[in-house]
Amino acid sequence: MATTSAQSAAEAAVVPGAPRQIDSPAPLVGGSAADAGTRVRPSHGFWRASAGRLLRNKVAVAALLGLAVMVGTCFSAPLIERRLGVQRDKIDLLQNYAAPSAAHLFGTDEYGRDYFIRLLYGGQISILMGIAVTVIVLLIAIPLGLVSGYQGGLVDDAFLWVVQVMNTVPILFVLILVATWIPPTPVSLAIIIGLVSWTGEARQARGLTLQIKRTDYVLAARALGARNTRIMFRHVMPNIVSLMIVLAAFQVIGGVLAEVGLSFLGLGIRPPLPSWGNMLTNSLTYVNKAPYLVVFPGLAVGLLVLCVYMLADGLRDAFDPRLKE
Amino acid sequence: MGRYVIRRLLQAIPLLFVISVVGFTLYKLAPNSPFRAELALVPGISESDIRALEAKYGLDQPLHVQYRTWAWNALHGDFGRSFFTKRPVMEMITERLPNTLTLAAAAFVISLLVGVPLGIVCAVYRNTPVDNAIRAVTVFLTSFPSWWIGLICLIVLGGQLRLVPLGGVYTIGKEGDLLDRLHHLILPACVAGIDGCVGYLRIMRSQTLEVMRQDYVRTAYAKGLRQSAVMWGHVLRNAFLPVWTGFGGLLAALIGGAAFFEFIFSWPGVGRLILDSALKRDFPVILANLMIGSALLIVGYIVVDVGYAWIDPRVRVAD
Repeated sequence: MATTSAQSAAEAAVVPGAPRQIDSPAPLVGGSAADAGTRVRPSHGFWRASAGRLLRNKVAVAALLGLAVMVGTCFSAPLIERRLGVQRDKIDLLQNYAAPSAAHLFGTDEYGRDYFIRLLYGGQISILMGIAVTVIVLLIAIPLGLVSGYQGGLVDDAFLWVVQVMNTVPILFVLILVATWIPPTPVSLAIIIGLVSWTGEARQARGLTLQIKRTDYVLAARALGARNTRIMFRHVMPNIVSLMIVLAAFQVIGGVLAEVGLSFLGLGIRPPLPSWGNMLTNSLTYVNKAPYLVVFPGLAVGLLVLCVYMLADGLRDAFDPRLKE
Repeated sequence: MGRYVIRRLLQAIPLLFVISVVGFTLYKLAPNSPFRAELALVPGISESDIRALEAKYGLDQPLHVQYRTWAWNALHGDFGRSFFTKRPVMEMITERLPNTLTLAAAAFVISLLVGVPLGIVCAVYRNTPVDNAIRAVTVFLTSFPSWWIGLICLIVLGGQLRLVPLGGVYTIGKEGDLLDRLHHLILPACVAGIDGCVGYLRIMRSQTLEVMRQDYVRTAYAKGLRQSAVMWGHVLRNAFLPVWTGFGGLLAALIGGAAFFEFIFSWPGVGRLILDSALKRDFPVILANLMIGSALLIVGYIVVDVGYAWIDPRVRVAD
């Protein structure tokens, strides 16, 4: 990926009109083009420039397309069911362990259910889980990071201490403890995973807030009499949004893998609702008869994570080209 | 340094206290007592029978009393008895902990032996096909859950090719045979080491690149040293520092991931123990695992910090 990053940097440099000065989210630097006076270049905002950089990154665009195809296929599962004439939970014991064929793209499982369709429905769970976990994480991490970074003092100490406690506990053990009495539905699972996964994002938000707190424009806002909440949410937050988007993209991976992992261990989504994790657990029992049952869900997880990873990587480069390497 | 270690150990006390309270609360939030759910299904059992059993285990007492008893005993190394095997929890854990630690240590060694050299290679040949190929492989490796890769390896290498055993720590009847144990260890260790390898590769690559940009490296080149002399004498010595820092995170990942690898490779360690107890709602065992796992992590972090100050004189621990 180093080459593609380097390529996109080179492209960014030669594209006419690509404003160099807005590479960083730092404000108060946008005036230079106007100052030059003679030839006014079209002024691009930070978001438009970032989007441009992202779209020039071939790997990121490929990942975006791949992701669109995967999400689109998973969520049009009902249509595909009708088209192929199969159903998610339709049991056909005469057709079990059928090898992949035209009738059953990925074969059938031990009850003769179509594996491809089940994989699509499992994908819906995984994708939604990744997104839901990320939303919960951001809802916790951004306010906490902002407040503790901006307020400092006791609030900050308390925040750091909580983070330290959470980093000391093997999170999986806590999940196991909770999973013993909260029946794991997709909703409860997303909430639980989200509640234990926010520390990284919150620390990053806090760190950036600490930096932004010392900038002149925050000082200016304070001099104008802005309240702390206004400064935090109107002046600081817009400047940590790009970092949070990048972290969110990586968090989606965390959410997907957590769901797959927990379901695999029997602590997550339970059959008959298909999820990539519980399909894998199930397939272990029949590995001698139908080894492909182990292969497909794993490949699906890998492909999804790979696409999200490439996209996240591209987003990071697009928002802050200096971060390359 | 001694005072620093003592202070860190003292700081660990409130940490463990909070973890124990949270763990205990999470356990007590579970509706019904541990036996009630199952015993209620037994025909002919009366409410007073269940009550009597609960009273025997002190479950009829107020929460804080239960916690105090549990914590006091835990401080003395007694985590009670398993609801299912009826054996002391501590005994169950201590007989399995060596297996988990062996696997973690082996995975750590493999991460170091593979990840670090490859990271240096990537840095030296940065942005060449070698670097790009290695890094592309790491991206693929991290996209798949490492336990799934382990599963596939087990099916192919163990099931089809019969190169490695299908699980367990040793062949029954060959308990003392070191080679046999190594044979059982190699695949689980490699699989558990994947994430560590990738992590170390990335750390080493970026750190080596960082150091290669330093002024003193340019000076070394300027005074006419050969590349090998610069790399060994000036770059790598300094690039090795983060390897130690990465140890803390890797330890956490290995303890957390133990359940997966031990599940797949039928490895009788604490990860499997906690998984089995979770499915049986064997709370004394889960709580004990939580506490011991946390304590292990705390000690690991302290060792990392102290070691870091010892390796890098620029880092001073505040006495």
